[in-house]
Formats: sequence, C-alpha cells, structure tokens
Amino acid sequence: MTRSVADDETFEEAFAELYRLAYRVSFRVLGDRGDAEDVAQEALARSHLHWARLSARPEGWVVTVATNLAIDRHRRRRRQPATIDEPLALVDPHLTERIDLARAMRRLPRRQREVVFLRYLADLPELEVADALGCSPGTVKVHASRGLAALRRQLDGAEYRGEDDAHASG
Amino acid sequence: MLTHLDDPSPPEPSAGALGAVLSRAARLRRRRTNAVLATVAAGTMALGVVVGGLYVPRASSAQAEIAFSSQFGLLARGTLVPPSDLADVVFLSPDRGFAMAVHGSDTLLASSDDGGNTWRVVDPSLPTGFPAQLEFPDRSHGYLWGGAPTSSGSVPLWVSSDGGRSWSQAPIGPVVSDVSAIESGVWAVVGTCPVSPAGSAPSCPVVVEVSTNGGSRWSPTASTPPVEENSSLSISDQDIELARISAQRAYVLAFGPDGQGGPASGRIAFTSDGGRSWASRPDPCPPSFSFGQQLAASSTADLWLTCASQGSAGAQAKALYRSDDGGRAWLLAAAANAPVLSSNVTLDGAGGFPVGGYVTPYSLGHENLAVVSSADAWLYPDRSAVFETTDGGRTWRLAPGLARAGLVAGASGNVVFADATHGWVCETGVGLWRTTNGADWKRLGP
Repeated sequence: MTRSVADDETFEEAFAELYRLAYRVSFRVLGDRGDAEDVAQEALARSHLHWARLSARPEGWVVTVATNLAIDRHRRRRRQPATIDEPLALVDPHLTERIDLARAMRRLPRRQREVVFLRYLADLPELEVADALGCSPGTVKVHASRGLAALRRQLDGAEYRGEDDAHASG
Repeated sequence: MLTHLDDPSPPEPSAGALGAVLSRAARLRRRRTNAVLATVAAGTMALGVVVGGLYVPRASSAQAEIAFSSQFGLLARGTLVPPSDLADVVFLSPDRGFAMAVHGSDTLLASSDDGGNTWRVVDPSLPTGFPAQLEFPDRSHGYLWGGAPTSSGSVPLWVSSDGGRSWSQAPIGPVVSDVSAIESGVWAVVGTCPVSPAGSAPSCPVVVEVSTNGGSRWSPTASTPPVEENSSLSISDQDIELARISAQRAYVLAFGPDGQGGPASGRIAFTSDGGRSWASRPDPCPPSFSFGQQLAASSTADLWLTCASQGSAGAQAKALYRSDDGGRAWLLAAAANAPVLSSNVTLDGAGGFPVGGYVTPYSLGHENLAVVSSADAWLYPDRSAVFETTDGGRTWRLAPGLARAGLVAGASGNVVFADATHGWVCETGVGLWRTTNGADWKRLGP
C-alpha cells in the first residue's frame, strides 16, 4: 500500500497529487476540461476546510466529493437546453456513456457508490479503498462486486461496451 | 476500467490552480462562518420550544446492505444465509459445500447439504477474513489461510476438525502461501520469512509442510523445492502456488514480475514421491507474462498452466499452455495479447483467450480455472465473465447458459466443479449458479 499523502505533508505538498485525482474522476464523469477543473478546485477547496480532521487519508474524501460534485453538475447541465453552436455530442464521443454512467452511479446505494467511486473511478487498489472507508478488504470486494453488477445491469451490458469489456476473441 | 473516458492530456496542477483553490477555501470559510452565526441566532430564538426525541444510533448502510434477515452482530449458528450473499464457495461433492460470506465486519462460514440451494451459518466469525482461501477435503476437516497478514507479518493456517465450527492455528509458518488437501494428507507451502515492506527482503526459501492427521502435527518434506518466495510482495500478490495432482505428485510454482519470484529457471518444481525429491520443470511463460500463474490438471499427465501480465484498466495479457507429459514439454494453446501490458511481447495463440478480466494473482481467494477433462474447462477472470472451452483450451467463448440464467458480467467470483458435470459459479455478493450437466445453469436461492 502506498503511503498516504497526508501522513506528514501539508496541504500544499499534497495538492498536486490530490488535484490530479480529483480532475481525473471529474473528467471521467463530465468529459469537459473546464468543468472538470472547476470541480477539482471546488473539491480541493472543501478538503482544505477539513484538512485538520481528514486524518491521514484525504484521497477517499476528495474522490467522493469530486465525484458527487461532478454528478450534480452533470445533472444540472442536462437540464440546460443544448445550444446549436456547441453540440456536446460532437465534442465528446463518449457523451452518452458518461450520461448513463452518472445516472447509474447516482442510483447505487451509498456504500456501493463510495466503493465504485474509489475503486473504479479513481483506480485505487482494494486495500487503499478499505483503508479510506474504514472497512475490511473483504467488504470492499463485496461492495465492488455488487456495485459493478448493479452498474452493468443498469447500463444494459449488451449495449455498454467499454474498452475493457470481456470478450472472447476466438 | 474507464480509462477510455480520460482526458488524453490532463492539465498539470499549477501554482495558479493552488492559489485558486486557497482563494475558494477562504470564501467557503467566510460563508460557513456567517451561516453558523445565523443558525445560532435562530436557535436562540427558538429555545424552549424544541421537542426532541431519543437519538437512536442506526447501523450503517453498508451493514444494512449485507445483513441477513435484518440481523446485526454475530449470527447464530444455523441462521439461513441467502446464496446472493456468498463471497466464495467450495464443494466436495454434488451436495456438500462450504462458503464464506461477509457480514458486517465478520467473515462467516456457511455450509450446504443440498447442492447450494440453502446455506446455514456454521461459524459466524472466522479467524481470518475474506478474501481468505478455504478448502474442505471431507465434511470434517477444513483449512483456512490467506487474507491480510498479521501485524508481525505472518499469514497463518487455521485448521478445523469439526466441520468448520471451531478453528485452531496450525503450528507452521510464518507465511502459509498455499494449501492442498487430498483425503487425510494435507500439504502447505510455507514462506520462511514474514511479509515485509516492499524492497526490504527480495527472496526467501520456502518449505513444504505435510500433515497426515488432519493438520494437528506437521513435518517438512525430506527435501525442499528449489524455489524462493518474494516476501516483500503484498499478500494480495501471492507468488507461490501449490498444485497437487495426487497424494504423491505435486507442483510448486514461484512467479512474480520481471526480476522477482526467484530465478528465471526452476520456477516450477515437481515431485512424484511425496516430496522426498524435487526436480525443476521448464516454465513456458515469458517473463512479462509471469505476474501470476495457476496450474490445474485433469489427470496425472494432463496439465493446464495459465499465466498473465500485470493487469491494468480491467485488461491483462494472458497465455494458456498445455502439457500432456506432466510438464516436461509445453505447448501454447491460446493467448490474449495486450502488448502495452506485456513489454510489447506478443504470443502466437491459436484461438483466443479473453483479454478482459484478471487471472491470478489479482484474484486471491478465488479459483479462476476449473478443468473438468482434457477438453473441457471453465475460466472466470476477476471483473469479467465466465468462459468455457470444449476443445482443450484452444478457443474460449462466453458461457451462454450463465448469461441466460442472469449472471452479470463485470464482477468478481469463482468457478468450482465437484465432478465433470456438477459445477457452481459464485458471483461475490451477487448470486450463486449451478449446473448439473455441465451445460445448463440455474440461479440458486430466492
């Protein structure tokens, strides 16, 4: 397991790593660079308020807040009528997938959602997810498995084909 | 899993971004202070008219989601466990099986006598938690190992002689990497150095301990296999595998990323005389495919060896080798190439292996490969789906019966067979499926 950035570092020292993490999860949901930067900054600003009591593990908190902010922003953006001069679908080839993903993640139970955020959106190893959420690796494994299964059901596995989707080539 | 949704050129965090964040934080702090002052004022005005109730702590939603029959705390022995809550299963006959399930902070042991339809708690709190590994050669004797190391870096073996109701620690160690029981004889591959921080202990001798009385007394084999264990790998990167083909014949595989897992040659050790002597067998896997290996057999000579690269984003380069002479010579049967994960090494595989999903070592606690004959086998890579082959591993296809029976691809689980036709697929925390003819699958439980 990697050492937490907050073990003995100040906010400024941890900033770069946390910012990259928050940006990555935000961009995966939003697909827009400006929006993702804005969400990452907001999540980091909020973490700064709680820095003293984020204990030694700020990554899980930052990922969860950034993802929730991104999903909220996604929902608000969907309510706004698309403008003719900026058709999002032409800008982002994965727009439909992002919409489905954000919608499906919103519907997960809280603990499954947290595990899916950390494990698959932020790509943290199981042991670090367990550490961040204060539970056992076994619990993470169970929630990750259930969360993925629920996501796949909602995304309709036959239609959702991410790059890593299992397939037999022979 | 979602790397295709990434920004191909993300912005680097700059001093300007840090300044913007600190500025936002200052604004948030001011806003929050004002809100608190307003709340205090409103609360003061309302004082005296507050009607409150007792605060009743509630179990977390995490516990609620995996509670059986809305019960919390340790479950009573005999409590029904829905198949959808199982984490891992093993079967010693078409009817008798054991399973682990995570309940709150405990991992429990359950058993079934009807082929997996109904499960009842045997031990509500196992001494080591999932993802540990479990083996029951008969109804009474059970072995439990793996999971997270103790604070002293040991990974003990726990033994039961009463069907899993109680467990005692076996007097071997410190790191029990793998166990195999055949009738009353049980072997354990034991690392002689405790698990240590990365980089502090490159390799360590291993011994094979043998018990012939159900795990009470142990003694090492007359000679030790010529392999070493990398004790600085985390336990989730288990780098030793024990594959016993019969009471006397066994293989010990040592593997790891390039430069780890012992010497390049002699990474497969073989004995045919119960451990009195060991010989090296050639390891056909290229170094970049040696991140994890698993060996299975349908007979004493027919071996199936899977090996794989480091995994990333749900994909892993994989290879399947077959041997019909007990491991002296190997032939590549199938391959799944992912050059970016295997140092640009690609293999010529006739037919194909699934690229998606991880095989060992990422799937600690789960058996990925179940070989039922020289032609038929099943594969359940982690975070993927269940695949089957009927031509000796040259081609693999998604198991159609399972998809029809409702198995959802993308989660974790294990596949086990008690014989050639009776098999189970456990999708961790999701459901349990069974076949009684090797073709048609049915979801068990409500």
